[in-house]
Amino acid sequence: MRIKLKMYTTIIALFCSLMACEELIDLKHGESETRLVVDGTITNGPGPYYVFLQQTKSFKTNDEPSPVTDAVVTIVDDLDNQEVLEHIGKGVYEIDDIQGAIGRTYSLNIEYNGKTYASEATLLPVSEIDETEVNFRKETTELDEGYYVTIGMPLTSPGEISYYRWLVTENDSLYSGVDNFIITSDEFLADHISFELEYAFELDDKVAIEMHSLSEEAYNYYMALSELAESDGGLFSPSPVNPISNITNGALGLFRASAVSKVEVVIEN
Amino acid sequence: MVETQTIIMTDKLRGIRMDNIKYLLCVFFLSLIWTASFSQSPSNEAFTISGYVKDAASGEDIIGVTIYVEELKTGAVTNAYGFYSLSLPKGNYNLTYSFIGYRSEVFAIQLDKDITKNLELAEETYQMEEVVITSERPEQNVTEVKMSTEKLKIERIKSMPALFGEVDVLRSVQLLPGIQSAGEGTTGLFVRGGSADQTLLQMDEAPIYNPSHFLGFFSVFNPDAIKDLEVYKGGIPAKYGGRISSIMDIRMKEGNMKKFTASGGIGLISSRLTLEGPIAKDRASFIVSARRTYVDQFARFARDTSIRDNRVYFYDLNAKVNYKLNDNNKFFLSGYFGRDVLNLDDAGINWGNKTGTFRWNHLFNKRLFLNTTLIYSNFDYAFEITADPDSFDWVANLQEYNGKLDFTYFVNPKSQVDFGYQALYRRFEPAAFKPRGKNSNIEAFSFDKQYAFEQAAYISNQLKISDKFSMEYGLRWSIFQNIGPGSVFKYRDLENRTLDGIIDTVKYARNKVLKTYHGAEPRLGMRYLLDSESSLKASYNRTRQYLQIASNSTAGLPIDRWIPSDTYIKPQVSDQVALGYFRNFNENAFEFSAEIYYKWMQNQIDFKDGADPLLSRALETEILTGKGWSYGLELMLRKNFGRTTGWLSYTISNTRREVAGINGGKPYRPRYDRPHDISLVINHEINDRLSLSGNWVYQTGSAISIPKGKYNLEGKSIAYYDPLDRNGGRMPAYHRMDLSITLKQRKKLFGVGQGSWNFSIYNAYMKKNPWTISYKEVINGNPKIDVDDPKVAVRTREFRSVSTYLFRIVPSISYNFKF
Repeated sequence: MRIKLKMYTTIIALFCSLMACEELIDLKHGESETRLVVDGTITNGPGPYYVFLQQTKSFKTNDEPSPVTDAVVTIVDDLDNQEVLEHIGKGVYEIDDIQGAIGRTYSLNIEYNGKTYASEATLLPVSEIDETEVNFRKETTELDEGYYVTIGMPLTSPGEISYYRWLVTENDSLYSGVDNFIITSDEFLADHISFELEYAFELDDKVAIEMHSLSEEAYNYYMALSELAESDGGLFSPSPVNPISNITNGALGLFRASAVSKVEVVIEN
Repeated sequence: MVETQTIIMTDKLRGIRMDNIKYLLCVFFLSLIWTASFSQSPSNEAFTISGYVKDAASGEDIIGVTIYVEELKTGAVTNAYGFYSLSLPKGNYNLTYSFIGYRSEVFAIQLDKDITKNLELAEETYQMEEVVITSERPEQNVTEVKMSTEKLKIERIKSMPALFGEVDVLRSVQLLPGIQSAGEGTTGLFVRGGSADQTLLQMDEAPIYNPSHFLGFFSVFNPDAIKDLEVYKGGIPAKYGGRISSIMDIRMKEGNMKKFTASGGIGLISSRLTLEGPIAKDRASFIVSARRTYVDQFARFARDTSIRDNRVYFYDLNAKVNYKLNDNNKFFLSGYFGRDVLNLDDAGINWGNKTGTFRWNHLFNKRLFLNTTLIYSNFDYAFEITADPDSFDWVANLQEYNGKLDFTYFVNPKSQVDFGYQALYRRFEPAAFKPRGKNSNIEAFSFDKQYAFEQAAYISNQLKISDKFSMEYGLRWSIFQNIGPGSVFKYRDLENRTLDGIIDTVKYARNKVLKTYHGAEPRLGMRYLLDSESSLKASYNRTRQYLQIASNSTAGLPIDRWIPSDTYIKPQVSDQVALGYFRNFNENAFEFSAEIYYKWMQNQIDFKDGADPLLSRALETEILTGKGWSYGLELMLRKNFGRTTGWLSYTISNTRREVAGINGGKPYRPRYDRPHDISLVINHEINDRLSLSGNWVYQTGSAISIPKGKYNLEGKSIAYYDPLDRNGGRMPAYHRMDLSITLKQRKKLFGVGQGSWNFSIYNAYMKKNPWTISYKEVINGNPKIDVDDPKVAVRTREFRSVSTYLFRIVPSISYNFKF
């Protein structure tokens, strides 16, 4: 439920359009020790899967990530299948042998710079997207003109709380990234839900929509990350903090295992 | 309801076992008061002079009038209802009635029987500056025991420059020493290191749970309906309780007893109208005051069409009737109704307070005064999303029923005893929501309601021990209970509570007690006169608070959730000591004070990282508990009368919190810790038609967390914060000057009325004060460019710090009239 955030951003938008102005500001950022940042995913879809390692860097440097290329990264599942990952360049480590499966738990181990970092993720099931619909909408104050996709699905396990993330890609570009997450908890939701994606597509676009299951900690991580990305650091926001990571020893980031259900929609008349 | 209360009472009595120390303390206090009251009780030949002091023009009670007995060098002060009582030995006396801004009156009294002396004082106009009565004794600032208290008359507030032409009570109060604002456009009061929910805002004794209009840019207190206000920052008398940091007591006007008047104003964003007058001359009066904004009408001119269709407004309605049955019985009934409506395209929110106060002032005899008050307060909000699939209606409210008995016993001119009892009942309905449209994905759901019962009894004594030394000491005892129906979760690990760790739920039936807290709140104030113009004062108070806002942000939103103390959330307790030096100069034209304070706060809650207190079903799994402390020095120089009036204040303070689990367990600064705070407020009357006023404020920037680095996820830069440096950075210092000019019209309005124009400039030298600072991708070095705009040729794309400032300069004009 991101109601508070939504309300707040709408109100800010109102104020800002009336009178507020933005400008660059120079702050004293200071320095602190660099930290390892992990971004790894295993799914029940076909491999390979990837783990991306980088380090934090000074605020006032360029925005290129600073990759970690010399770590020893190992994955073990709860059937004792083990794989040492190969670094394939730019901080990306490839999971080649292990195949993700529902109900399995995967342990990640990273040896880097004399420190050991560990994490664990269980691959939870996810329901199927059972409804897709495309509607053409004319330009309004809120909407760009284009084709809008509505998707629907039952809850994964009614009576229990499940968490989801949707990844929408078209022509290799991810629409629902860090600043535009589509994530939810089904805590307050009806047994079958449907919603329209807020992207205007064009004719002949091939839109791939993946629904990923999340653990509660992964959901909380993404929520915190999106709040951080959208936070204006103002009075109405909580004090900004790093999203709580599921990796030990002070590393940032997330290691997750997700079941995926996928549909592809081709926009046509 | 009556039945309910009885059950609660018996349950409570069963639940409480006074421990011996507290019992002894209580006995000690009572005996002290008894001794004080009767050892000095007047001789058989004593008589009482008592009565009410009123404003000659309006018939309103005047609070704080000093009645000074020349012969005995002693006196009395009118109470909150304008009543005074002096018991003196038989004799002839000269009594001086004086109050700042009013012409003093002197009477020769032959006291050989009980006398009722009601009096009307006339307001002093600035022309009288040269003939200010030079009394030989210092004014109240120096003589009263009370310290750490700020009084503001509404006329003073109205003469200050206004934002958008709206003078605002809370924004004016933020200019007083020791009272911080969290940032531009917020009305929350952060008093001596306390958070905003630790200040009790009460209007005619009814608590206002959310004082904000328009998300805090304005407050609910319509200046036309307000008479005056008093803020207790420390040395809080035993009579007051319920919040640990501060009590802000706002009194509504009573309505003119003499003649019918209409007044009002037309401003940039709102219009006001007040009608008042006698129902029966000198016996009954009424006042009705209304204010309504028309911001929504302005939105029509916005560039963005989605804003044009929005409906945004607020209104306030205050009403009061006042009836004097006879000299011994007076009745008041007052009410406030206000609402904000903010309807956007597909979402809407509205919120508001409703309060009602019924008061009965009763004189048993010339020396025993009773004020009986019944209070109702309701805060509610409704939030809706109108467009499917997320459409829903969400409502929440908080209600309070409150009854008080406040006695004042005027023992003799050297001793006054106040005692009383208060019972209040609160009902919390945090949130109930249900789907709105047919295709909504939302399921109907509501949180458990919570019920709380709170009682307090107090006794205090103001005692003049010698010509130089006076004190006020008292004890308040408060008792709090969560009552059923309700449920309490049991946790496997009490210290480390998680949702997974819930092993059992204990359900309680209606009126059963879930949890009881109680405790003593000793209060002490002392004053020592150094000479006729200066004094030293000291105070100590302990305060307890049994409810708070569960929010992890600094400034309040209307949807913030008030929660009672419960099994896991302990009441907040605060201890404060303060020491002050008070001095008047130039025949009381200038008042100077210097105060230092130290305050300790226990059971302060903060939230775990990533917590969402608004929709949590088990808040105790999301909170962390710790302590806080604050200390500071407040300097104030004030000029109260003459052509030029105003004040200069400087506060240096330091506030910290320490909560295990936050900032690595090390102390950290709350956002509102702003060590340096300077305010200059000046009003100058050039002649009887023209006056100028100006404010200048300077504050250290808010304490904020500034990223120490960054990293990259899914192609986007993310700010990295040092987890051991919460709020370790500062926003740039805030400073601003506002100016205004008021011009009264020469011609009478329709032959009888008086009109005046006010021109204000907010932020006169156009300081770009950052309101928020965010970290985001900036295209071509210009934060105004939309990152997703396909029409912009991207030369650079960098992750930068961007500040948002609200107001460059805001000129405004308003017209006020009075008939």
